[in-house]
Parts: sequence; structure tokens; C-alpha cells
Amino acid sequence: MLILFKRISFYVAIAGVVASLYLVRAQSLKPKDPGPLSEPGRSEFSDSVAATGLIEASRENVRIASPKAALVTKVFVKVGDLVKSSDALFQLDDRETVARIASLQASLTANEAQLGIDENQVADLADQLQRVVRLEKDKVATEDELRRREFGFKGAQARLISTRAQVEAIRAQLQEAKVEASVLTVRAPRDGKLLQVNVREGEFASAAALTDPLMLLGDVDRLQVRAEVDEQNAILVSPNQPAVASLKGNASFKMPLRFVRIEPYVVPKRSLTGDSLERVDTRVLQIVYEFDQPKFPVYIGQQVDVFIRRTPGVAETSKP
Amino acid sequence: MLRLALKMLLGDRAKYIMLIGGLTFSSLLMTQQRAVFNGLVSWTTSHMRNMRASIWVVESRVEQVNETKALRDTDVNRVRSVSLVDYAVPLFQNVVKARSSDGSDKQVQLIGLDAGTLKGRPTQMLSGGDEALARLRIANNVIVDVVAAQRLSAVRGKPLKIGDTFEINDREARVVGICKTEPHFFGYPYVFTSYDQALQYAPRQRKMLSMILAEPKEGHTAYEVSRQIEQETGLKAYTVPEFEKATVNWVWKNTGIPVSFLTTIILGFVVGVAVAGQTFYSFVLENLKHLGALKAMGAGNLLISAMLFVQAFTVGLIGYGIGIGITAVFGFLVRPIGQPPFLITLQDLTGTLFSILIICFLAAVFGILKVARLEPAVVFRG
Amino acid sequence: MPADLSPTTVARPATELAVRASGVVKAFGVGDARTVALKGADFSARQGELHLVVGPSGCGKTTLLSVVAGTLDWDEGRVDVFGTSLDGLKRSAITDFRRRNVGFIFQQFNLIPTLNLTENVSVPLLLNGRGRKVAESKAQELLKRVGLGGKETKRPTQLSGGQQQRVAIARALVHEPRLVICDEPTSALDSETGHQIMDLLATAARAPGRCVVIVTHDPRIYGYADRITQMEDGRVRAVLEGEPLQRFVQSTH
Repeated sequence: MLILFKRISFYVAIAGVVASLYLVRAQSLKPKDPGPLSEPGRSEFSDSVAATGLIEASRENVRIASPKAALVTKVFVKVGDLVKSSDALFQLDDRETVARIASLQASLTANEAQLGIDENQVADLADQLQRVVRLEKDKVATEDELRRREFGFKGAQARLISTRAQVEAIRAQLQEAKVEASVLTVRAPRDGKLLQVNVREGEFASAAALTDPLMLLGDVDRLQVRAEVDEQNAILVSPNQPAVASLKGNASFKMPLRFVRIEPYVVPKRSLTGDSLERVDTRVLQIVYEFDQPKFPVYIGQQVDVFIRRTPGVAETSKP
Repeated sequence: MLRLALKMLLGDRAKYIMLIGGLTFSSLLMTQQRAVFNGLVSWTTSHMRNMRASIWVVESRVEQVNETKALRDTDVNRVRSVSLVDYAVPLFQNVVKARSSDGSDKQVQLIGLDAGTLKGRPTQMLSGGDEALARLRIANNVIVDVVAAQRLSAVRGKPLKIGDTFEINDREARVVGICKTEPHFFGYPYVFTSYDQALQYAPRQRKMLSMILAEPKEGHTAYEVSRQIEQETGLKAYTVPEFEKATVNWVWKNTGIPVSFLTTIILGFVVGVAVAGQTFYSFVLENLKHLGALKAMGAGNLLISAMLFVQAFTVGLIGYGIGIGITAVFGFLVRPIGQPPFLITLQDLTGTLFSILIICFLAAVFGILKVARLEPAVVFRG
Repeated sequence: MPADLSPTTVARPATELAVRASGVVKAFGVGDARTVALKGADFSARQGELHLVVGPSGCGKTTLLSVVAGTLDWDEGRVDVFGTSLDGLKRSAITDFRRRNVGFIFQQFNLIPTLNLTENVSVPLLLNGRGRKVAESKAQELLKRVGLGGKETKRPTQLSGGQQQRVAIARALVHEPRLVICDEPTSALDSETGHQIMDLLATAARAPGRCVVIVTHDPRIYGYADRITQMEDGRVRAVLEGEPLQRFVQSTH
């Protein structure tokens, strides 16, 4: 065998084998799976139902709308402002109404003056009538004169009632105009924080239902999570099971949830692409949870991954 | 005597080189063809190695990794709800049209990664580094692979670099990083972005989720968890080996590539048998006079056989070593380019070894039959 | 020692038969192509004898030699070598017998060109299962005895024809066989070299219990023979010894 060792071919062959084995090894080495860049959403429970949740104000957000289609003349608030109930939010164009109030006011004054004149006249005629009645008893005045005085008095009385009614009517109109004017000032229906302001002075506010409301008012003191569970997994969810939410994108931020309620109506899945033409074939069960403000900031509208402990005893879903 | 057999072989340099040459050629031919074939087969599953996950959850009718049948968005949560799943993230993949800044359209493989975990992200960043990965979460930012950087550049020979832009479906895409990937089976360049961004780029469809990448909980195998996912969700869950096998099977069934390569490999073997067998047989014939003399001197057929086997296997093994060595050199040369496909495995080496040994065995057996039939008396005939 | 080897024409008393073949028939081929090479040949050679088998080409002398050497099956007759009957022996048994007891010298020397002289000569010992060291030292001793000391590591192709045949002789004798079979050992050589070779063979034949059988049609070497078997047409025509042998030798000169 030793004579083989004198051969170059022998060493070339050995080198060939070594090189091939090295290449095999080099080619079989693949870069390691780098693993997740940030903590992925993991369940803390051995059996859980996963859901996508959206953080919202604990009383549902109020979508502020305009009472009528009109020009916006003034916006009193900006995004993030805390408002108290009945604080003015924005002002619609009210020039027309203001003019009407002024005109009614003038008309009222005129009619009230007329009312004074009429009252005076009634009093005068009443006095004349009394005297004529006495004179007629003494037969100083004629019955004809008495009758004339009586009719004169009744006529003045009727005129007074008419004028008075007219004054009342104008007052009512004035009141209506004033109410109308106040409606044009849109006010906060309750305390809260302005989460969105989508209207600016000089814009036209539509009175129709909008995808983006003019303003979004929410209560930021108490937030809640609305978790959506695929309807196929609905059977796995039951009330009062604990749940944990973690921020989408970095699940190391976790917060425990407390069950509030299950929405009794299964709704079509809300798509975050916002395409109104989207056809939906998925319906979701919504479950509402509340939570205490965690140490890290959370914002309304933020997406969270939710893991809800599975109803004990229900092992698995039926296949679709 | 076996030592002398070896000397008889090595003593004749010309014949020895011819023998080694023939066997080297067959060894090279077989290994090379197999390696190219392996490389091509591995390309079919390169997609998986470019992304990495233990479990691939797909629509129940998906047969291979390069195929996309969309899932519903909520399926991610359904997979997450499976008790043995550690975590699961969505993945978007589709072939979309990208336009380079000179206006020409190219098809690219768009990958949308879960923005938080970036699970499935490219493993080999050439430029941009980890920062690029972080920037992927910002709108319109993408990471492209080398192929994309070359194909989508406006100027030939000047590949895209960080900060350059191109368009995907009329939306701007800004390059924040360049990575290296294994070539896609269909040759598409890779463009990585975040899942949400991918949905913006891709033409809108009713269902956009392509795949779910999942990992098993510690202490459970991917196989076990895959079966549980399938049972609970009705989706198809593949482990890596399963998906690779399914993909390769699909390629096998649906394309003519494997058959043509198999033919070449078989031809390589046949040519190897022919060349090496013929060379060795002629070596035996030329030595027949001496072998006859040995026989006359009392060497039995067993000893002659042993001598021929020693000779055949010696040239076989040396030719084999040189042959795979040349293949390996070829492999090292094409490795940085990644073209043509080339993947050499231990099975190829043992396969070739086995083939070469068979060739040598056959050659030796033919020689032995010739010598065994030889009457020792022929040596007296001058 | 090669130096004091000299030709002998004197027949020495034959003590015992080394080879005895009687009525050997051997045919080659079948049908029309069938030729009968041996037609009932009787042959015997004594121990300590240099025995020449002569005759015209195609007379069957090489076939007879092949049969006697145990390298060729025969059809009829009996062959007995050193008291061992080769009749009905299995091929492997004949091979074993040949390996131990027969040395061969061929017309074309048949040395293996890729092996050096020592290795070539050591082959019979190695075949007989001797160790490499023993075999090579014995081989070198034999090479010295045939006058090739110092050329042990040369290749056969580096030697002249005569030197090659000496190597062949060394190889044929190295395992001390009792029967040495030579096929035309001198016909490829010039006269002088042929004599040197014959000197060696004659010496070898004198070793106790040995018999050297040479097939030849080279009349130059008839003088070395202790006995000559003349063959003709597959049969032994005459066995010459003593006076008739002398006459025959002189007649062919």
C-alpha cells in the first residue's frame, strides 16, 4: 500500500475528497433563523383563544355630527382638548338667524307699542261707557248714545286681544329663532377629550353620516379593549374568562384585562384597509374588556393582540 | 502479491493515467450532474430558506411553497388559538409588478412581513443592517435582494443602493437595505416590506393573507404542532421537511426537469461504466500474457481476482477522489455567483462512490471472467 | 556456481522417474476444426536429468509439455509427476501442485515489465505464501547466482534478452521446484547467450531430485541434453540416450 503514497494522484484524490467534504459542509451551513425581532404575541394560558383588539374609550367614542348642513364659521377647540359637557365645539353659519331675530325684535317692539295704545283706548272707552250708563239712568243720555258707546268699547277690546295675540306670536317666533341660533353652536354632549377634529373654519359641514366624523369625542380616563374573535372560535369564548392584551408590534408590553361583556350581535369583520367596497365573508364576535392604565402609554385606536383563556371543557373547534 | 498487483498497476504510467482519467471523468460527470440537479431542486424550496419558520400554515389546497392561495385575516388568530403554537404571524407574498426609474416593468416577489416581529426577514443583510430592518416598519420602505437591486436599477451595471427609489404598482418604494437571498425558483427578485405596507402595494383582493408562519411551543415538535393546527383550524400546516418534500414532489409531478436530469445522471453512469469499464478491461487484456504466466506459475483464480479487484478499486477510488475534487472546485467557483444551481450533498458523494465501485466491480469481473477462462498453457504459445 | 558450469554429454545413471506420461491424447477444437495434437504420446523423464523434447513444428511437443506441466487438460492417458498422479485431480489441486513443484521458463521470458527484477523473481515464493522479506532476499540470492547481482532494482525492459532469460531462470528456480519446464528458452537469443542460458539450466538440472524438461527445435543446444525425446505427428518417435544421442547431436551440427 505504501507505494500509493508516492503517487501525486493519490494526494490529489485525497485533496479532492477533503475539498468535496468541505464544500458539502459549507453548503449545508445555512445562516441561523434570526428569530423574531421583537417579542411576538404569546399566550399566557395553556389553552386560549386569540383575538385582535382595538383600544377605545370606555364609553364608546362619540362621533360629533352637524345638526344641519352649513358653513362652519368658528371652531372653538383643537385636538386633544379636554371639554366639559355643553362646552361649545364649533359654530355653524348663523347670520341668517341673527338677522331674523333682529327683525322679529323690531316687529315685537312695534306691536308692543300698539298694544299699549290699544289698552289705553279700551280704558278710555270703558270710562266713557260708565258715564253714559249713569246718564242714561238719569235719562240724561239717550239709549242710542249708550248703544254707540257700548259698541265702541267692545270694538276696542277686540282690537286689544288681536294686538296681544300678535305680540305673543312674534315672541314665539323670536324664541324659535333664538333656539335655532343656539343649535348652530355645536356643543359637547358630555365630558371627554377630543380625539379627532376633522373640520376647520370655513369648511362646509355635511349633515349626512360620514366615514370620518367632524369630531371624535372620547373618554380617555377609562379605556377598554374591543376584542374580535372569529365566529368559528366563538364557541370557545365564555364570559368572565381572564384575558391578556399585548401591544401589536411589541408583545413584551402586556396588560391584564377584565371581562366587561360580550356584544350579543356578531358583526362583519371591520377591515382596517378602509375600503368601502370590500366584501366581507368573515363575521366576528366582539368582546369588551376593561383594563387599568398600564405603566406604558396606550392610545385609543391602537391595535392589540388579545389572548383569552379558553372555556374549560371545550377542547377544539369544529372544522369549517 | 496484492502489493505487486498494485505495482503492476502503478508501474505503467500511461495506462494508469488513462484509467484514472476515465474514472475521474465518470466520477466528475455523475457528481456534477447530481449537484446541478440538487441545486435546481433546492431552488424550488429556496423560498422557504429565504424566510425561515418551523411551521408554514397555508390554505388547505396549497401543494407547494411557491403557490399562493389567500387565507382570511382572522386565520392568524385561529392559528394563534391552537394550544401548542408558541406564536404565529401573518405573511404576505405575491408576485407584483415593479417599475424601475427608467420606466421598465419587472416582476418581483413581494414579501410582507409582520411589522412587529419581522418574522421571515432576510438573514444576510449586505447593507443597511439591522437599522434597515427597523426602518422597514416605516411606510414605503423596502429591502431588496441583490437580484432586485440589479434588475430594478435604471442604469445597467449600477445596482440600486440605499436611498434609491422605484415603484411598485404606482406607489413609491424606497430602498433601505440590500440583502442576499437564495435565487427564487422562478427567478423573481425579492422585495421585502412590512405586511401592512405590502397590502398597500399589492393589488387589492378580497383576501390578502398568504401564509401564516408559526413556531411550536417549547418541548413540542413542529410535526406534532402542525397536526394540531390542521385538526383545529382545517388549514394545511407543513413542517419544513414536509413542505420541501411536497414542493419537490410537485416539481417532480408537474415539470419535466427531474426526468431530464435523471436521464443525464443515468447517462453519466452509463458513460462512466463504458469509459471506465472499457479502459480497465483493455488494461486487463494487455496484461493477459502476464496474468497467464502467473496462472501457469500457480496463481489461483481467487488470487488473480483479488489482484484485479485491488487494481480496479485503487484506480476507482483515486479517480473518484479526483473527480469529486474537480466537481468541488467547480462548486467553489460558482458559489459566490449562485449560478448555475449547484448543491453537493453527502448522498451525492456516497452515491457517486457507490456507482464508481460498481463500475470498478463490473470492470474487474469482466477481466476476471476473461482471465478465468484463460488456459495457463497459452503462455507456451509465444 | 555459474563459472564452473560446463556442458555435459555424459548420461548419468537415472535413479528414479520424475515424469511419466503414457498414451496421452489431446485434441483441440470440435467438428471440422478438430485437430488432434497428441495421439497417444508416451513420455518419461528421470530425476537429475536435462531432458530435451525435439521435433518439427506442430508435432505436439509444446502440447505434451503443457500437459506434463499440469497447465493443460488432456483427453486420454495417464500422467504421473514425481509420484503424483495428475489424473482426475481437480484443477485447483493441479494449480497447487504446479505452484509448489513446477518452475517455468518461457520463450518470451514473460517477465512483468512494471516490476523490478527482485519482484519478478520473488513472485513464485509469494505465490507459495512466503513473506515479502524472505522472498526478496531469496530472489536476490538467485539473481546473484544467475550473474545479475547489482541489477536487482532494474526493470526487465532495461535488460538484454539474455539477461531477461536469466531472470526468468532465477524466477523458475527460486522456489526450488522439482520439475522445471522450459519452452524454447534459447530461440529468442543469439548463440552465445543461448549457451550461457543452457549452462545455467544444466547446472540446475543437476540438483538432487530435479528434472529439467526443455522443448526446443534449436539444434545448437542438443549437446546439453542427457536424453532427447524426438516427436513426430503427436507421437514419440524415439528416445535417444548414450551413443545414439551422441550420433544424433553430431548429425544435427
